[in-house]
Amino acid sequence: MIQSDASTVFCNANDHAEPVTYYKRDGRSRIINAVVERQALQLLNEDGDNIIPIFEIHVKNDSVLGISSDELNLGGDSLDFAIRVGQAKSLRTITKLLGHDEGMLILECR
Amino acid sequence: MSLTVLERITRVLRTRLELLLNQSTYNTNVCEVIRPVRLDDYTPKNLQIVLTKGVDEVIDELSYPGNPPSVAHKVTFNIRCHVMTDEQDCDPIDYVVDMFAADVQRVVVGTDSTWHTFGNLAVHSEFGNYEPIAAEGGIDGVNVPVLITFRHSEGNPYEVRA
Repeated sequence: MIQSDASTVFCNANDHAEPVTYYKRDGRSRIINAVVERQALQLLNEDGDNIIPIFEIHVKNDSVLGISSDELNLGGDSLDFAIRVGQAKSLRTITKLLGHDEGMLILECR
Repeated sequence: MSLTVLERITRVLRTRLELLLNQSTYNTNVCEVIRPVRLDDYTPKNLQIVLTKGVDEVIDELSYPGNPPSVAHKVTFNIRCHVMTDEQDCDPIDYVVDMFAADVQRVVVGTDSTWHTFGNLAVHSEFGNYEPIAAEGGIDGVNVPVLITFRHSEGNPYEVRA
């Protein structure tokens, strides 16, 4: 049930989800549906000098429709989406796995 | 548009760091060297360098009288080395970070005995203490500070002085 809800309810492109491109570290890619939280937390990054946007991305825990928890690589996987609605898409590195279960992954992109 | 002495030094430093791009001389092959814009639009990457300017301090002891007098500044440049290795990578992270920092030092110094002048723009340069980047942000790495002392004419930051 939780896996079914992940795609039919939470990551439904007719509601809150949108198509984004998932790029794996090795260069392979696929289009998936994701909920992009653009209430960007802006903070000084580790560099200490710059304010950067942070995005919270919700995807299905699935190797076809979303990103599976065992394929995710926090050493280079990225997502291609628009920082602001209407703008061109840009590649954003997945920096953290904020949480996950059998149905969903919650990712941080910067 | 003319450039301030500080900006000219910054560009020389960036040019030296860019020698780590697409090369086989050094152990670390950097993917990009960035000077951030106001609303930062870069995304963290493995083996990425972000160059920022830190504290700019006037050094009265090194300033000279004259007509016009020269004012000495000591500026800290932060060479932030980002590391995001593959999750399957077996190399200790300290090894990767240390090698990255070492290659940054090597490329900034080069083989020129007058590297510290950055093309006759500065009077003294030295490396500061390494500052590790906390990994809880998803990024590992280290900040390599370079402290560069230069002089410019009083009231004219565009004119370099010896």
